[in-house]
Amino acid sequence: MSWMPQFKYRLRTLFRRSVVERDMAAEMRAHLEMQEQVNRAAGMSPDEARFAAQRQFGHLDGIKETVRDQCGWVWLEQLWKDFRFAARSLRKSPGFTAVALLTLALGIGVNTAVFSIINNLFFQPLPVRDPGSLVVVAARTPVSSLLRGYEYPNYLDLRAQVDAFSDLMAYSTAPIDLAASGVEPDRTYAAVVTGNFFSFFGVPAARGRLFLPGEGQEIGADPILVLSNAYWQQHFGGDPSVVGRSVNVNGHPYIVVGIAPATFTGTQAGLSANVFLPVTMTGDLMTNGAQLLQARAGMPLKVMGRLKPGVSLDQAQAEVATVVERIARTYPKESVGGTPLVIREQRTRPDPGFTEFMPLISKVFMGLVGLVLLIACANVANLMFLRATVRRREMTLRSALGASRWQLCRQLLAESFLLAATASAVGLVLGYWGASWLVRFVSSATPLALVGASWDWRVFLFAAAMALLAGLLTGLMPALKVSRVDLQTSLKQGGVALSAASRHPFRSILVVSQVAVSLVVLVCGGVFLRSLQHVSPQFLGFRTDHLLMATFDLGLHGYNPDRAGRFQQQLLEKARALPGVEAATLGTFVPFALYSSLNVAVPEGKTVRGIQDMTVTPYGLVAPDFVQAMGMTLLRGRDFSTQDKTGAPMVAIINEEMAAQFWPGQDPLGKRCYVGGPPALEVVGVVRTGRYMMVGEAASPFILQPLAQSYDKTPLTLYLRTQGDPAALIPDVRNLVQALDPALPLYNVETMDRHLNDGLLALLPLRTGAALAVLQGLFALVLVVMGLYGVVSFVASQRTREIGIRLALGAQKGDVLRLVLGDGLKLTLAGVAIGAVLSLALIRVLPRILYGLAAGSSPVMLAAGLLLTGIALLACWIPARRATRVNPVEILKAE
Amino acid sequence: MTKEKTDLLQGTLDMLILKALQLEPMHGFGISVRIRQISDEVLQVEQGSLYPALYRLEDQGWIKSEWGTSDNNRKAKFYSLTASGRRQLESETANWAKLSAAINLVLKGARGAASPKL
Repeated sequence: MSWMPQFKYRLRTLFRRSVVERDMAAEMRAHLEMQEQVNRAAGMSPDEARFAAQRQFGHLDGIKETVRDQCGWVWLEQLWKDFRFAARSLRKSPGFTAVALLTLALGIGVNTAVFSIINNLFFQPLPVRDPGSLVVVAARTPVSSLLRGYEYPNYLDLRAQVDAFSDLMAYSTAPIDLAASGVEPDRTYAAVVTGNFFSFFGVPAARGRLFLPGEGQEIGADPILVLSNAYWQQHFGGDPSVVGRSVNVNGHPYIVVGIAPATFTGTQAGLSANVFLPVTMTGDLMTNGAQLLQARAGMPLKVMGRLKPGVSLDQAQAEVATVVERIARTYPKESVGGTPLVIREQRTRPDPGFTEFMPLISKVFMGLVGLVLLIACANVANLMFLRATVRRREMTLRSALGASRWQLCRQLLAESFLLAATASAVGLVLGYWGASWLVRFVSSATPLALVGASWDWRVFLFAAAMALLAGLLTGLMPALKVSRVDLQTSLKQGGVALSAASRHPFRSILVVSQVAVSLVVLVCGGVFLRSLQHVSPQFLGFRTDHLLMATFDLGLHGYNPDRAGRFQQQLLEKARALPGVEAATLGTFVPFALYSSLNVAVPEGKTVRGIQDMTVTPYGLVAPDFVQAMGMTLLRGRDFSTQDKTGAPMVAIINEEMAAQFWPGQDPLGKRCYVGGPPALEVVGVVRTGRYMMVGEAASPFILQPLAQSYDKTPLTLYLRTQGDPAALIPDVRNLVQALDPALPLYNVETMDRHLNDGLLALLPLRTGAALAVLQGLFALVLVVMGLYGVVSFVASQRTREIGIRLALGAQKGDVLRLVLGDGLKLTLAGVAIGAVLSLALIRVLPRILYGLAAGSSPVMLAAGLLLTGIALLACWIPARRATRVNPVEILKAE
Repeated sequence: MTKEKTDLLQGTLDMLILKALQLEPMHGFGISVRIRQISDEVLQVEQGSLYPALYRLEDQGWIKSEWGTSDNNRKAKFYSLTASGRRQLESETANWAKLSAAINLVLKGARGAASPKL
């Protein structure tokens, strides 16, 4: 404990400064007095005694200073002084401080936002018992880069025979339609899990019970389900009487046995499950589900295990390999092969299948946002540089008064670190908003993803690291550069500046690169905007206004073709009778849907040796009058009618592109082609080519077939062309479907305009891209203006003397103007040239969302270049004007 | 702990202060007088070195200070050795003994070895 008094002493010197100072003064005074007394005792007069004592003692304040300097906290005190000084000098230039702060805060904010999401996804343990022992068991197969799980029978063998795990569990997810009396039928996602699921995770029931040991063992024996807490709250209003009630899953009765606790969101971090069903009930969830479940090579489930304490991953992997090998020997025909892997659960997020990619993807993403921070830092560094050069006089003076280079550096660094730290705090707030916006955005785009942002110590640590990095990046270069004060030349102050570029290569490079980057960003924004303008009914191939859509899934409810046909018939009739409906139709095709149906087509008479001879095309089965109701342009032939039914000749409507590909230069009407297989379909109509899967796709073939001639089990979408606001009809449509089948949920109920604007494959990326790019472009523009203004005005002020002499020798104002503007213009044009090359390259490799839309990018580039140059000239104009007002007489007098 | 082996002067002053405090607590003035007395007026401790040294030793935790009253009823700050200060004094004394013995040996040896050659 001997350090305790020492520690207390040190704390006292740190925090009780004034007491220590007073003590020190009193102590030395006492010493002086004692000396004085001794001197007097030796026979000196009082005055003499005092002076002698003082002489003997030496310089009082000097001693105090020495004492202070050797105290353990000098460095802290100096640091504190540096920061206080930095704060004062930042406060003195609020404009600079605000811009620098905001720039850095944005950069850091974006980074923390993304990091908080990555943190949530990858670093948070699952909220279950002993999450550290969870592992995923999967196989790497030669056929796919995604990891593969194990089929149910194989899982059962693994569970029985592998000794390394205390338990194994398997699950998958499936879309289901859930209906109950008193609530709207709903299409949602279920986790389809083995019976031991909840006991495996050690999760207790919030209400009712979870699966019992005997349940989920026998195929088809347990029509029971557990609801997630969130789903229970949302769809059943938290009604406790739901437990024990019968609900309808895809038309089959199920009993709700319990509610899972609120903290438990499912098996996978980042993926929410609303309903939990026993895997043995797969028969109700998909066609031939029961047989598929029992096949050894068919439907792999994701398998998770709990490592026994003390068992290593390698041991477990070896044991799994042994059992898998035994299974493969016993069932050679059904073996899929592959190398078994046992991976820690945290390393398999967000999906065990993607294990190999996710680290890469998140690295790339983090790298991209890191770039944003770098750009922000470069901008702020330039600002710091500008500021530091303006303060060169101050630096010189300090240096002349004895400040060392390190002290000057430290002062500048203190400013940049103070800025970065404050920006980091602001950035945390911005990041918090940004993250919650991103989370909302992602979860609305992909309903399955449970994206969250976790704000824990990791995020704060990250923000602190960002602040350090930003402080160093923004401060180091300017500090090193500016602190190299050459007293001789600076004090003489006669420096004849040559030109901006030769005097300040570093800053000139920064300005040039800023101009280049902002040109690229502006061009991007412009291209995005132009692309958006480009989107019209003509371009898309159908009318998006006054169109309502609603999807339902008859196949999931076990409708046979007859029953489905009757349902469709009735629905269409009733929908057409709704007030305000101009036309109604049905189709399996939904433009820009997340999952588009595709088919392969071959013109009759073409020899097909393999898939390479077939054409993959977006495809739809549609009800009569589809072309007319969707507002597609029929170029030739006719629309489908009620006559196109089973027994009638098989027909198809294709688009122009397909006609051109299949029968170039010929009349496509009456030609025949195979779609998916025989029999051949006769082309009865040709529509104008539109966009089908993505707004930015290249012109693609498209084929429609009458629904009545080819029933299949994919979901159907009802389209209503309305007179008024289509959204007003949503309740009517819901009632109508409810009346026909109370258990059938409607989903994706929205207007086509909204679907188009907010669709991930439609305009959303373009709109977001445009907004971000334009915003960034403007931001970059502001920085360019400030950077250029800074460089040019600084150089101009350095050349005041030269300009004065030129004017005295008879130079005209115009000459001076040209001289100064030339400096700025050179930098701008260099930047524009580099930026143009970069944006050309970027436009060429921009993702396919811009395909076919980026054609008109050269006018955009021209406009952006002109805008940039114009604004840059304006930024140089002010210092140039100032330079022309130089009074030669004053300048010469000052010499 | 022993950080100033190289700086003989400073280390020596520290040692002298510790030694002066070995018997009883003392104030700064007393320490300087004591050192002068023990060394037969040979060693004069400058106040400019004494006080920084005292604060340094206290920072190291080898001595501690307390306000008290001096012989002639004056308020003064009294320094006393701490346990670790006592240990430090012992080790420094031992080191010093070794060092001075070694230096003595060298000085004697050098004289002895050099003379035959002359």
